[in-house]
Amino acid sequence: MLKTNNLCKVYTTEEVETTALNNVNIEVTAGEFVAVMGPSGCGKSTLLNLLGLLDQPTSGEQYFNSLEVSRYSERQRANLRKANIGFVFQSFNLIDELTVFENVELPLLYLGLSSGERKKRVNEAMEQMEITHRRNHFPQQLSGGQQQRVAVARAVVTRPKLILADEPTGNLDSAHGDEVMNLLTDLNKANTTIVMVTHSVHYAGYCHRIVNLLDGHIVTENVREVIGV
Amino acid sequence: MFRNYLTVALRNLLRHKVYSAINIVGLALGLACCMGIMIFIRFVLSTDNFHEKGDRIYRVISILKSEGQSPVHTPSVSGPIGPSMMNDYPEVENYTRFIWQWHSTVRYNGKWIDLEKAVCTDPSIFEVFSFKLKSGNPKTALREPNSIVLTKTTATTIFGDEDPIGKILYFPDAGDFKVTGIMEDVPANSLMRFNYLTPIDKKRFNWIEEYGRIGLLTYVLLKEGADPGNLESKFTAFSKKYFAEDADKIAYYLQPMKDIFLHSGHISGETPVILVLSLISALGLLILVIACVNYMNLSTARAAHRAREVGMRKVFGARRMHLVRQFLGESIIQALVAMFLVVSVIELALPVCNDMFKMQLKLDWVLILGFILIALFAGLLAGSHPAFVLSSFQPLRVLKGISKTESRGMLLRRILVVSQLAFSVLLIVCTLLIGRQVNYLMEKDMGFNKVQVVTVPMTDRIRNQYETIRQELLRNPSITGAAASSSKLGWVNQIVAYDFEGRKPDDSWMASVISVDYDFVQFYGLELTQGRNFSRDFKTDLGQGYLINEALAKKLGWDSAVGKKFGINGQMGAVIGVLKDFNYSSLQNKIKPLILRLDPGDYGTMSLRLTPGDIQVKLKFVEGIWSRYEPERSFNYSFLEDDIVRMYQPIKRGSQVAGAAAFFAIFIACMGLLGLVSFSAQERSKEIGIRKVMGASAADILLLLSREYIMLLGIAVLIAWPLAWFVISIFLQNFAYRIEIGLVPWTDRPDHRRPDSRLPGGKGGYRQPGGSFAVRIGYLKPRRY
Repeated sequence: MLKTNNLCKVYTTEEVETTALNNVNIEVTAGEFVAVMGPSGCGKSTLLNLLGLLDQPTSGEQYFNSLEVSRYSERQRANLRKANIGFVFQSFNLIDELTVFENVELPLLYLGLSSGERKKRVNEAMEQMEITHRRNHFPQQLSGGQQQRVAVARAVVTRPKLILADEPTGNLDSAHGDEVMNLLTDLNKANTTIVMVTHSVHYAGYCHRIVNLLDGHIVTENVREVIGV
Repeated sequence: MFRNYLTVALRNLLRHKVYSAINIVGLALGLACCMGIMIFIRFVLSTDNFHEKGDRIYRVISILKSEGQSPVHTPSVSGPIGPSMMNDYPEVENYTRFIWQWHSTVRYNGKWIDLEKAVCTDPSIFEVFSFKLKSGNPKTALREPNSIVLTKTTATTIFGDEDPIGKILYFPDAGDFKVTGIMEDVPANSLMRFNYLTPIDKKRFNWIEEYGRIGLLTYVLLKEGADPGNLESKFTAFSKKYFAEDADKIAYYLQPMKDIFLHSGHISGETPVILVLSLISALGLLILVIACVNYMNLSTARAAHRAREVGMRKVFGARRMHLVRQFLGESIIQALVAMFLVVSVIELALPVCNDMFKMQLKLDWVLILGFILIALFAGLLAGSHPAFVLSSFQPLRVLKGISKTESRGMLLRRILVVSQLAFSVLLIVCTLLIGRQVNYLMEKDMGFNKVQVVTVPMTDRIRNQYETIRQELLRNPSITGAAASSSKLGWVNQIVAYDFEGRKPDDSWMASVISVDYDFVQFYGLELTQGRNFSRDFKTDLGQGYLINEALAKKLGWDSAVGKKFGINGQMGAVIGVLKDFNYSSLQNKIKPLILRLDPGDYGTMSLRLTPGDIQVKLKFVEGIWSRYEPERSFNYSFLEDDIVRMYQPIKRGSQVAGAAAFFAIFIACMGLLGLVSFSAQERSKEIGIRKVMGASAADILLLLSREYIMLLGIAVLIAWPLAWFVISIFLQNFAYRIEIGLVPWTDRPDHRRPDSRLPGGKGGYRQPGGSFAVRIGYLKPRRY
């Protein structure tokens, strides 16, 4: 589903040039649940953003469902993204002015679905995440765990083939963290491919495979045994 | 999608009430200025547009040319011009002439009633113009010489509930008039707001058939399809035909009816209305732009609050145009909300305004459409910059929280704030300087003594017995002087051609003239630099003695003028004295050549100087004597000082408009500053808390928060000052007598007030909004952070 060849990302400012990713080669097949780990600043989030088509690589090739997407325009990436990829962020990134229902509905608006279809899908997603009773609340009225459930509902409502989660448990206590991981595991079992960035060895244990990054390189792959999970 | 945008917009509005209020109230004030001006302009542009044949009606303008002077454009033409044009040119379908009469007194049932603004005209007035008769026959109403048509209001004033048709009104100078028609009042948006009409009577206006005497207005109605340009091209031959050897001194052209109000600056000598309207519109638009700038500044300053939403929308596939549309939509919604607020206020205020200013302002669909368009314009303008800033956020950077700490568009925001402040300061300085110029004009010594002078217009009876009346008045010690003259000082507008020693036959020389009595020079304290005053001891002074002013002596190159041969209207005589120059007309004009002569038959104004105190009692005394000699006219008077103040009303109004614009501009700009300072205070609350823990005082915090804006104000003042100086220099060029502009608008004026109390928008004024917020934050306790 996802494949990169010598993927590089260099950030250039007036003063310095920082190589965030250096010749990264990674392949994720459909249905996989992959964890990306590594110390802060090793390029985990950069990799996730590139995989999620939120950013463009400096060099290298990148395939999404066999399509070479590394040189896609902003518009092409947006179209591919909105139809295929769901995102979950550490800080939830819910829109404060929208209710739970409206937040979950948001990605569907850009898919151009009818109001009836949107309503049906949002209700399904909310039921799946067990937040239907909070549908008219605003994000600030919810606990962190509930907010992340809303964020997950928003990620799955478009029925994406791929979910990218950037430290989804980072802002949650362990009970809520486990809850979110269980949700992601269930989604994966329902055949959604998931790539998750995490610092937590514990939550990496939910995944099939772990990719370990250091200074922009992949240092180890599939090493659950090595780190003793 | 639209519902989603609307929901977010409305919730944002409600959540951030202070900012929403600043934005909406600012936009509302800006729009209110523009919309008010639009209503006014629509009213003004509708001037005389109700005449059905308006596009075919033209006013005949004559150009009078004389040697050594620039040609004068005047609507005043001679009586036979209209009939001759109709006779000579098939293009002219009809004509009508107007002789305006300003004051008259009429008697009905033994009661005297003062009437104003009448027009003596031709019966064809009802065929040319669309004045509707309520009763009476428009074809015959003005056919008889002693018929009169009254407007509804005039009829009610005179007759109350009685039916006026057929009733007789007595005019002391013209006899009995029979009411033959009642017409609707002339609409407020007409320049012809007369109260009654009478026919032009050849006996009363015995000059009406002379080509050489000008004195009435002529309107011609062209036939459908007639080309006015083509007709005008025949006017050279017209002048030749009727003026023979003088033909090169007079020319005619046609002024379209629709241009009379807007484009008559070259005729009246005043600022053209169209220019005034353009200036007012520009001011209104600038104020609206200031309000839009507030919106831009607040929206971009607070952009970080919307960054996450922008980022997420982009993550979900929103393109930049989606977001631009969303944010423009938000600003348009706010502008529309502001517009509806203003429309509601206007709905309530219009009837009051109409009552107060005797106007007929109203809202109609064209105006409403105009309001919507201006609100859309404001929304687009205000929202354009924020929309492009906000929509440019990169989702990645936003989601990483980078733009939270990034100060977006700080430079542009500062430039915008400086522009707002500079414009406000410019307006304040202009207001102050125009105000000073008006005061200067009103207080300047005009070279004659106008203190405690009452002027009374003279009638035939008063003129004929003037000497007796004068003696009788002067017996009262409260009246210290009396004099008679053809026109009131300040309003001398009679111009004559004069003859003098050494004049070549082709030279045509013109000067202003006042016919005066023996006491005039002394009464007004006019100084003589050469020769002597008129004296009863010299019989030849009457008819052959002339006083001229220095300007005229200089023009003629006479160092010693006394004794030189001089004359007007063929009455040759000699100069007996030279008067020191004094301002006999508005101070807008330089002192031009002036001639004084004795001519009791030409007196039109009596001037009396009263001792101070108990003015009403003294006026009653004068009125008593007046009514004895003139039983058929009511007694009218005015104080010369008041009249002179009134002369500068138009400029004063200009200063008031600038003042109002300055107030709006400052108010809106200050609201914007309040928003920005309160925002920065919020943003920096953590910093302030830390500084307070470290020992900063409230004053330190105040300085911290205000410093930037004080600096911006300083820059604004530096920009506005020379600009104001430039603008005012241009304005002052309209005045022959003007103030000197110092470095600051209040210099060279001895004033008991402290200088800075005279500058409402000075530093104190501007610092306040930011300052008060800063004070509040400064006094908050540190533990809150």
